[in-house]
Amino acid sequence: MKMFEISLLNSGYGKLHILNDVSLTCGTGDLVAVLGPNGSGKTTLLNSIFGFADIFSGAIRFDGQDLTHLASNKISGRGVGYTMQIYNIFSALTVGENLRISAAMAHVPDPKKSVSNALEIFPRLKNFLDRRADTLSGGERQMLAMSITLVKGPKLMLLDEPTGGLSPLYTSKIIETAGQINRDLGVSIILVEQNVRKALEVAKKAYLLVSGKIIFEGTPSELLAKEDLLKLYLGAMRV
Amino acid sequence: MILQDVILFALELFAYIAIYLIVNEGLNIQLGVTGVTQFGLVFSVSGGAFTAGYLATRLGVWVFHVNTGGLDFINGNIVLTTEVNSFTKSQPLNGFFLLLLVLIAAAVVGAVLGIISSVPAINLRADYLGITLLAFGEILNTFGTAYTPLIGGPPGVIVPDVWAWAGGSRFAASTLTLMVLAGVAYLYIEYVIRTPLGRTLRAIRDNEVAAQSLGKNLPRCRLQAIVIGSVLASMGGALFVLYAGSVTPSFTRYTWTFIPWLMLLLGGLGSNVGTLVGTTAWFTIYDLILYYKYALQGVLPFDVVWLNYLLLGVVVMLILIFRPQGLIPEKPLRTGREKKSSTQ
Amino acid sequence: MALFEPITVAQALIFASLLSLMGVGVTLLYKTTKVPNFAHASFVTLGGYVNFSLIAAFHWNPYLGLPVAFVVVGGESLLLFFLVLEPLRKRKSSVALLMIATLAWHITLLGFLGAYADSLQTFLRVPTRNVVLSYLDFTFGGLPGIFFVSITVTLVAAVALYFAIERTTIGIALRASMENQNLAESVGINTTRMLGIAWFLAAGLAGVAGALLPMWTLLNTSSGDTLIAAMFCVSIVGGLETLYGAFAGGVILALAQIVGTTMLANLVGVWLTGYEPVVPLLLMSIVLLTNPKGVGGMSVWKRLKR
Repeated sequence: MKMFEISLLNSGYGKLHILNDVSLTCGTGDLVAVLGPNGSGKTTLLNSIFGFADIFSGAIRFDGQDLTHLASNKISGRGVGYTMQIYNIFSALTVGENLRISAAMAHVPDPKKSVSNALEIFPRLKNFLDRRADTLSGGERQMLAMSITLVKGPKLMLLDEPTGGLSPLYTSKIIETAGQINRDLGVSIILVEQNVRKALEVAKKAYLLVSGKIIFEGTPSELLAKEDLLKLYLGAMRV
Repeated sequence: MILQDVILFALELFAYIAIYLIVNEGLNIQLGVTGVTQFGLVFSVSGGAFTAGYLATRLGVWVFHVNTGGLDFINGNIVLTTEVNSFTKSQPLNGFFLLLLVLIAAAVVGAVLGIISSVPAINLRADYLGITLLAFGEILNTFGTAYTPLIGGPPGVIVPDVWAWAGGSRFAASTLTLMVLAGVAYLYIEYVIRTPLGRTLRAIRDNEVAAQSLGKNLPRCRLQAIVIGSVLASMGGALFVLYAGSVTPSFTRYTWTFIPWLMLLLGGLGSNVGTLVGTTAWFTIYDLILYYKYALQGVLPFDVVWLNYLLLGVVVMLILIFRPQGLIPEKPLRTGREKKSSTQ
Repeated sequence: MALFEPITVAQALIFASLLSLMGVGVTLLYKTTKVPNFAHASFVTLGGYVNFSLIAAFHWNPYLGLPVAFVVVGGESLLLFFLVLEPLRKRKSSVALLMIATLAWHITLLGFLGAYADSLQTFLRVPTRNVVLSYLDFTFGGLPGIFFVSITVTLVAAVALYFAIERTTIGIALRASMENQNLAESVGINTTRMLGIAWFLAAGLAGVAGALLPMWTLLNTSSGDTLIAAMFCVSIVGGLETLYGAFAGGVILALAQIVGTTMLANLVGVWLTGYEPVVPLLLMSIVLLTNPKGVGGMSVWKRLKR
């Protein structure tokens, strides 16, 4: 059985039904890419895992445990981290406080060590520890958002469009760092991305989500071969 | 209870329902239809009430050419009002004319107060707006208490009885008048809801951005809703004073803001029928409880009036938690353009 | 008559302290729950009657009961939060409905307090209305004890609040919850518990202010109602979004009310004092209409505050 499994998930917001019978798996150490056009439900998928969307039916299992109706604040304690798409840092807190609170809530044995470990991956943040998070640039904020998740030492990281609105330089860096985290630290990653080429470079498996339904599941090379799907849903190959 | 008592009880009940219905329609157009967090309804109600208190005797003296003999309207309040009453007693038309004048004055004051209230509504959001309007509401009562020439300070003043001509049937005549006026208020708001303005107001309530994108002048529409509401509330306040026969600076946010909200919540926000149902239902419940409450007085170690407060608060919380849509949920407006059902 | 009497300044400082204790709670609750809390009025009154009960029934020293008032009122506010507000918030109720809910709770508590005060009077045979306890106070250097106690309590509260919120982990968790509930939950913070803590603190401080009230002026079941406009004024003038602004707001309102009206009354006439209730309303309206962010939002503050 895979480490992480979503089975036949139907979810949305209130009366709005967004995901239809969505199933997805992620094995230990895998990096799974979830691609799709805007509005297809990618963020809803990740939100559902954390209880920020309403689950109508279906199941979510991680490490043999049922997460489906677990309280939002207990999920990260099970080893799943979520780097959201927007509003993913505490702008009123300093960079240091952002990391500190995440480490404290994760009940890691040595919070200071966890923070410095995370800072090894994004050394640039070391200069900003005492600065308010809202003084950071876009790319730096993204790094901070990912660090907040990393500090907990998660087994599975959910990354929602970490390159949104970033320059090409930062885009490459972020996705490469994601790959690095996956390879070197063994953290499984579910990566939701608009940047198809970069995401497929680091992914082991890919899903294509369109209008709330999974219409493709397979390896990156299999997806790249399906030109009709690429053209239809993902536009021309995005650099 | 003998028949006479029952009739009087019923007449008084309907009078208060009528008065509150007028005030509540004033709240409905602002809160239910337009979504304005009008926590300052008492501003308009007390405005109309104090207008009646200040002007009723003066208007009577002016219209009926009463010789004041240099008497002050506050100190000579009882004498002068009794003089005016002798005119309203002799001819129904006199009474109704005076009533009309007072209502017009209250309407004007209501419009002015409405314009003042709409200033914060231009760009404050719901929570800030609610607090600001609440603050406004308290101001008039303070003036009423501190500025004696207005309505005689804490003891207040009496006003002419515009139904004095009815003699023994005064309560029947007044209740009937009030019910007719309440009916007019209710129908008027029904009408407003169906006009283009009414639809715009509902659009503002439901989705302000969308309403704005349609090119409507939002602040102006909101102003209209607030002014209409304020005028109605003000007239309600004036009628309350005329019915009671006197006015004191006792217009609190509980009686004239919280309770109207309660009635609207009970009936269902937005639905005009709901306003009617809520007002009637609440008074019925309340009066029933009042009746049995006095049986408890003396048994309990405290004044039974505190049970009122407990009841009010608990009822509202129960409504909010268990049935926030009220008794009559709002129905979508029919514009006559719906497709016929496909049974062909 | 001198325009600027020292006794008036002392009165103003006492008033400022009490107002700050009340106002900081209003601001804290607004920042965390996004709702202006009308029930704050009854928090104050409840605190007053808790302390008064201890004094009347057990002859406690009037200042000994402050911690009790803190805990009782803090606990009572949790009832409001968990029983009434949380269900509404989960349902994403509008701010207007939440405000009415707090007002409804306040009215319920008014009924309870009225009944309680009546019953207390029946059983203890002491008057429980227009309660004045200043005769129990000590004097020091010609000034009443309440002067020293209220200022000390306020300063201690301000410092303690600052340290708790800015320097502890729980404080960071609280600030995180105030800013972004979902994000806080995603990092493992139980935001409901954080909000509960905020309610307990805010209400507790209001309760302490209420307990101190009869040492300075009188205590009635309507005391909270009389002061609610002032509480909101303090919070708004200080800036509803700025926690420590409430302390500035308290000073400003107290000065405006006591020093201002007293001074003006000396100049213009005693009748002016009848309009004293209008001061907070006017101040509040002016701030809301010209600069809703209040004193705390102004750029000077931005550099000082977090």
